[in-house]
Amino acid sequence: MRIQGVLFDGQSSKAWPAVVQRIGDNVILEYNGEVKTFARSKVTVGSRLGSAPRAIEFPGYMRFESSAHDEIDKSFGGISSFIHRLENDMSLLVVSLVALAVFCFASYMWIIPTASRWLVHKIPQSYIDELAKKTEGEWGFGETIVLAQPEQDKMDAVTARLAEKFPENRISITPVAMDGMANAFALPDGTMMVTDELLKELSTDEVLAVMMHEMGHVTYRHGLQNMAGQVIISALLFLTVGGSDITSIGQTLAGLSYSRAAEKESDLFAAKHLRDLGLKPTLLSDGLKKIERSHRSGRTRGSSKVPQFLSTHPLTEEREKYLKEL
Amino acid sequence: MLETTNPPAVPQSYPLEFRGNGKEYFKIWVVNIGLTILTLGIYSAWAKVRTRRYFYNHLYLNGQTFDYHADPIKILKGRLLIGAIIFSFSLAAFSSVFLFIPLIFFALFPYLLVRGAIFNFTNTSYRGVRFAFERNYQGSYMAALKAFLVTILTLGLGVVATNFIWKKFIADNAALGRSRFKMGGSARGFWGTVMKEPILYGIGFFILMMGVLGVGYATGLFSKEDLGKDPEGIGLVIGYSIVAVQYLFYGFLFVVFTVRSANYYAEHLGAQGVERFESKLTLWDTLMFYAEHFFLLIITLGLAWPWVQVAIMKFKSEHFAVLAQPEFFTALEQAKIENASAFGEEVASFWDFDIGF
Repeated sequence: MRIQGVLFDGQSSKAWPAVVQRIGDNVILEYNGEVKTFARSKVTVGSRLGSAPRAIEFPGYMRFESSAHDEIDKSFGGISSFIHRLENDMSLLVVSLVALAVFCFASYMWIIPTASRWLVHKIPQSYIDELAKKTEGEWGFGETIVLAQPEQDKMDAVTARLAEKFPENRISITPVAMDGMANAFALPDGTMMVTDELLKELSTDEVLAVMMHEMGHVTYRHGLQNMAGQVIISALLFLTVGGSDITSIGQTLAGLSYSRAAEKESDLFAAKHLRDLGLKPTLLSDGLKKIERSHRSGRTRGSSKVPQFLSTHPLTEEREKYLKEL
Repeated sequence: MLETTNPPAVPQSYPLEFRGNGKEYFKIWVVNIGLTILTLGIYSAWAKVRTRRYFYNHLYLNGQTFDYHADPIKILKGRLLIGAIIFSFSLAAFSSVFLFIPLIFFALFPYLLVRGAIFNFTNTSYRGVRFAFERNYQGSYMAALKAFLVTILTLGLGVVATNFIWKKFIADNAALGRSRFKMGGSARGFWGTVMKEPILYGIGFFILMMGVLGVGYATGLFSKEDLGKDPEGIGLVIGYSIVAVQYLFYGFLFVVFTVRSANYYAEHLGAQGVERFESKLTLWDTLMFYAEHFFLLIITLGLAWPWVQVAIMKFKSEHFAVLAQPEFFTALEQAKIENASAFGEEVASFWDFDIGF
């Protein structure tokens, strides 16, 4: 079968009319009055891609181009047309799309959480301590302060009760100031921070409940899990779509959803341990409501009601609801 | 010898033409993603080559197409190497080594850029002739230094001009066969052309926003007390609208940058044997084009991505032309073809740095 096309000789960009023929294990090329014979193994046949002309490449960068796809397929066949068949088979396309959807769902539900949990428990404690030292210095969770006596007493009481409840943990709470806002955080190494305003506004039991929630973050290593999850999502996205602005929106939304799941896990952790002490789980939601109120009336009028899917924490009403139901 | 008596031929305009179509590319895209998942990411290297080939093979200039020749195995090796490095870096995130990573990256970037450019250019061809890129590490480090100084000395305002510095470095070291490219113009000229408008628009936008807020407060339409009392109501609406308007404005600036920079580059790019290049993008058309396709992406939840990519390629190529003598196309000569690993290109694309024109 004679395949018509043009030849670029590998030296210049001049196009020669040419003919290629496959005869057994040989490929015969005719152009400019010459006839050359090559072994089939020395010749590369480009795969079919859309409607573009296809290249057959010979040694010495000689390049034969032709749009006679059927003739080329008949003469050379093979793997090149396998992918092309995939791309033109509607049922395979549907299967691919379904596989894609299933994969996204499975990654979101199981693969990413499981992988990040696994990764995080492989990290030695010494790394975590070092990381915590740095974040403490660099992020700046407000200024460390000296508390007034009533707040200091509250904090000491909570520290003592936590130490009793979790004897295997090293309990350390640092008081900080944040523009008169009530808040509390946990660093990966177990150091917890609490603002003066929180100690002022909440009762001792409520402070205990909030700090138990923070203990939940520490125990489950949520901060690290979140970092690991982000690394895994980026890797998956880079491999599949090469990354783009649109996928980064999905990444952010997924990250927020994991963050809310972590908050809930810590809420339940706190609820369980409050029960053990004979206290009500709703102490936590009472404390949370006071914290939320301090943000609304605070100088930074930041916390208007954001829809849940755009938020790092579940809505407070939602949290109150499941704590009440326990 | 015979031609000496003929008058020199008038250069003709040869427009670029992209003949791909969204439906065709959509199928390729889906199969790429499907196979990538089934092979746990290994196919991604083949997918990348296939995608590029699709775009190059359907891009026509004077009746002939471009081609992409990268070896997927090399790309896979590059990706695995990056994966290994990123993995060890993320472990290093828990130690002080982490602080040096940006330094290492900045120190190696100019070198990797050249390696990546060699890989990209030598693997691209037109009419059987490969593009080429010179192994100019010194120039690359000089360009990095220049970009750094421009940014620092203008207190960050000149950062847009670094785009020109890199594009000029790439153009000046690139060739199609033995025909060298050359970028004229200057960083200052580029900055003036590309930035004057956005700065004016920025000032105008700022004044407009202030005006709206001022009128709003003055007429009591949204008073401070309301914002405090009812954070869920009008405050939220105003907050979100301001953010939305801001993003629309950034999108607008992006289009202004795209149009002005593309036209500036085309006007100042030269190549041996080419009279000049032409880019005829106009602000309004481009704005409408991007707005339409952004809307399309939103309502299809991103599924229209392949169509949008094809449409962008069509749109850009139909506004670009090469002015040359007809002989230019048959007189290109092959240069020595270098062999490079894909690592530089993969690092660059990981950081979203596009090496090319």
